[in-house]
Amino acid sequence: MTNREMKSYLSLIPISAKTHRKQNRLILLCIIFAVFLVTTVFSYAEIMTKGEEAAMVRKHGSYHIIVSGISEETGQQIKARENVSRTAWLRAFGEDIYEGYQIGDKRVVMYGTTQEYIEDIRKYQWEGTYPQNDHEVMLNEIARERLGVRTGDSITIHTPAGDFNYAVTGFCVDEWQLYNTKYDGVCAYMSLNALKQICEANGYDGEDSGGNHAAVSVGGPVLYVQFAKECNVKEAVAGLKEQYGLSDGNIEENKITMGMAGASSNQTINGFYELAAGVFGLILVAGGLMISSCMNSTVSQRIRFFGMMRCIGASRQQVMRFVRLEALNWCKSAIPAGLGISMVFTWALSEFLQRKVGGEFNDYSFRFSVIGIVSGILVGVVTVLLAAHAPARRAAGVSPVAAVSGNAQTGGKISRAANTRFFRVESALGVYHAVSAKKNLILMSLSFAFTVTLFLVFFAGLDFVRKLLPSESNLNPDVSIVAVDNTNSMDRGLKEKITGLPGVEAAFGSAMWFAVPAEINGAPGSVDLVSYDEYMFQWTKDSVVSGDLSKVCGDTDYVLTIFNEDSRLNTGDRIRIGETDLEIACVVSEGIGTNDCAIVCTEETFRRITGEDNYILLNAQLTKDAPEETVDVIRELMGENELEDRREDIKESNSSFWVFRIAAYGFLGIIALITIFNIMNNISMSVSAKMKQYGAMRAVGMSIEQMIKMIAMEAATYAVCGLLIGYAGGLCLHRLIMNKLVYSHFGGSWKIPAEPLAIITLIVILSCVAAVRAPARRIRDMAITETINEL
Amino acid sequence: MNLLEVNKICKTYGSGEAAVQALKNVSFSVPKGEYVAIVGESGSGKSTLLNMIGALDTPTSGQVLIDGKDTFAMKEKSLTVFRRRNIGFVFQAFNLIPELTVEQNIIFPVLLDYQKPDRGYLEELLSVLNLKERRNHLPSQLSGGQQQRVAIGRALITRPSLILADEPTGNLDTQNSSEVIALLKEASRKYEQTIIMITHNRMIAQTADRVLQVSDGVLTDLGRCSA
Repeated sequence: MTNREMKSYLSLIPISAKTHRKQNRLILLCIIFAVFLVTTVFSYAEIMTKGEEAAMVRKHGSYHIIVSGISEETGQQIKARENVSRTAWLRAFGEDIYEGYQIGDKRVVMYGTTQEYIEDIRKYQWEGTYPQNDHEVMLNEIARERLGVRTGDSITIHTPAGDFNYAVTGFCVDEWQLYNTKYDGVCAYMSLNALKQICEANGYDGEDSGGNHAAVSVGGPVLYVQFAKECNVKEAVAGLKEQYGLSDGNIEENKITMGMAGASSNQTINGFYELAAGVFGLILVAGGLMISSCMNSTVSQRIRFFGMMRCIGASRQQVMRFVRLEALNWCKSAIPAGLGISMVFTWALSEFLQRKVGGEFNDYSFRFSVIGIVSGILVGVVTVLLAAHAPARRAAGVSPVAAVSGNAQTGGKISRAANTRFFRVESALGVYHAVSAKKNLILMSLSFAFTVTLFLVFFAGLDFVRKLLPSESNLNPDVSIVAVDNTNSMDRGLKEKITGLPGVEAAFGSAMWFAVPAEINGAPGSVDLVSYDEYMFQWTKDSVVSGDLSKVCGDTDYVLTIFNEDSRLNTGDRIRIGETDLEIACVVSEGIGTNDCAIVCTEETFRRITGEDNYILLNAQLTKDAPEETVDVIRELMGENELEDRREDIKESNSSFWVFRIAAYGFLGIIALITIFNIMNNISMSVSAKMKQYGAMRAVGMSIEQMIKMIAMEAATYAVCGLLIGYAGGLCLHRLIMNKLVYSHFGGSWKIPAEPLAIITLIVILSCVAAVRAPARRIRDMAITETINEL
Repeated sequence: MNLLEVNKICKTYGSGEAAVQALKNVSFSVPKGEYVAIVGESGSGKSTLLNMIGALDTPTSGQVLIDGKDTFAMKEKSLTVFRRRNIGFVFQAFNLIPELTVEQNIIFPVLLDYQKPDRGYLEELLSVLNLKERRNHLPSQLSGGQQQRVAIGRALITRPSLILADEPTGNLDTQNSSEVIALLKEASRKYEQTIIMITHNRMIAQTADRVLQVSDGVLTDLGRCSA
């Protein structure tokens, strides 16, 4: 009991909330869940957006335009303009790798610029000081490793015109090493004047010094310009052009920063919020439905209370206000709880992604998101208000007389009797309860069917994405070595040498003959002939679409083909190359080959047909903890051949797959939870409405077990109907998606997806069990006399 | 031999200062085949007493023996079966299952026992209760009197030794009330069943073999009716 003074009839709300804490638990959970989801999604969208922005600034710089062909004086004037926040001069030399410019044995790219460029325009991480005079340089981090120099050391830049000596003042992590790991050189940053001296000495005065950075450079240094945040960048650029008579050729836009400033559209960044808004809408509807059906259930459990309120003089409006405020009262504790859980979860997620997944997630560090918090609060309040509408009207519509006499709960008119001939009576009644309310049955079945269908569709989507991402393939190399002249000239011994290196999991090589004239089933054409070694055949087993892989073994005339939409070679097709007749024994969905019509044979067969024994392509898979030196050793071993380091790409595509998986499973989780909540509420409501009837049944001899069986049968009826519809719809869509997206591109034929079917069936069964549990407990606790006395 | 023995039943609701004694040391016994009426003011404790006898509620202390069996010593599961087979209930609000027909409602307790109903006995009951024409009707298609007759049929179908009726005529007009009472009496004689009935109606009480009065939780035996 409370000692607080009751100021209005609404003061009853917190008192009633205290006594009905148990019944309200589900509603509180619903609100917490909705708030949690929305806050998390928006917070993470903000984290991703900011992370993406940070990554883009690091990659592309924070400048908006690069102006070339202007005098120093014009540069000063531009810098002084009101809408310009920063400028920096840059002159690049050697980006196209002019032979003969080296520090030690490493080629060097030189930049003449100022500290603003490193610090503000590029936002590079750096240490030490920026060169203060013409005899100092700052090197990039790669140079520190490759040259083994430290701050304060002296270095010499060799040029065709002579040597130039400098003192090293610091190091920076520049874009060369972030994104051009293949580049085997170093970068030096110096004053504009120092670079001018090198250029002049080598006869490059005023010549093209552009390259990757400033393709529009027409002579001498270019000016990087960053506009003030609040200004309209498009107008500012137009103003600059007009005032200084600059043409389009003088100005190169940084599309990324222009996009972020809203001057052009950036799809990635807008995409996050679009996705979040979509999820917001989904959760609003789903949360609204969930909370609404929960509230309906509590209203129907308290129908006598509302009837009593009406009896003692509450108007309809007052009852509605009561129910609405009662709902808002739950927000008081549910919203902060949802926000809190979301913060912890978001923090844990970003920590997990940063530590375990890495790649692009390194930029996604945790932050408190105002947008996330505001949208969380908004979704809590709005869903509750929307959700309370129907139950409030229902409560207000209770007739005082009917409520007090206890007849308000009886449902619609019954026109047909339950069938007790085929089932036991409690089962018959359970099925009848589900089937008699047609609208409810359709809604419940469709809700189950919706989950089943979406589940299967998502699984098909996951299969597709897995096929799309090369990093998910078994034969995906971390580093590849391609023969320098694109012929089978790489020594076979290299494979063994690489295999023996520490941190190398496997090395495998291929030889290839391109566009070999051949007769395909008697018709003239051409094929690409590729050889696989044993390791590659071993991993090809998993991607066999048709035929028998075991035939392609040793020196044989059997070959396999990689599925190709255009060539459509099939098992049994005959190919004649020169004097050799080959037969396709097997088709695989993926593999290392060419984009054209490729057939794969063993190394022995390849040798017999072509007489060649060496490789064109050598791949190596590294272990997770492979030391960096391994790649350096491979570089040394490979000689003149070219190395393709794909580790960064793999990491990125791995992290993309992670994101897709998290998003897909998260979405599935939401749908599954909505279904579970939905059926729980429906069963709970159905039980509430029939509580008196159940009391009477207990009195005339129905046992608790029989009663629970009756309720379970009701839930099972919804589930079975839903599963049947879901299986039909889901399998059709699964087949359609797999045929259109997967099999048409990667080969194969549709099979019933047994695993996802089993999983979703299990989820549905579990949701039924969960749905029956709460009412079962209520029935166990039900005192028969309570309901009997009300009769 | 006594079919029912009630020994020193006490029932207290709440505790401490808020404790309310609904039944105070109630003891009585009813021989087989007797038709007993319980009368009393509203809130005097008669429904509580009936619930105790029917094992729907547990007493604070005391004992109820039906056919010599202590109902409160039984476990929930066996008590449910015992109730299903040995006690028939008739409620004021009929309490039929709306989705079952007249016939299904009557055989409901038998079905709960996973037994086949005795068709001959069912036909006999339907004819005694004058419900043959209505056997396939739903409760919503019946009048109040007819619904109560179905409820009586349901109470009789398992041939229980004890029938408990809580104001079975409370919702019926005079003519239907007389018919229902006549039916109960006839059943009691024909099938040798013991009936305990709560009623407010003096006229109906007078038709009973014996009248018990409950007042403030105390039971007084008013003895056999002279009528």
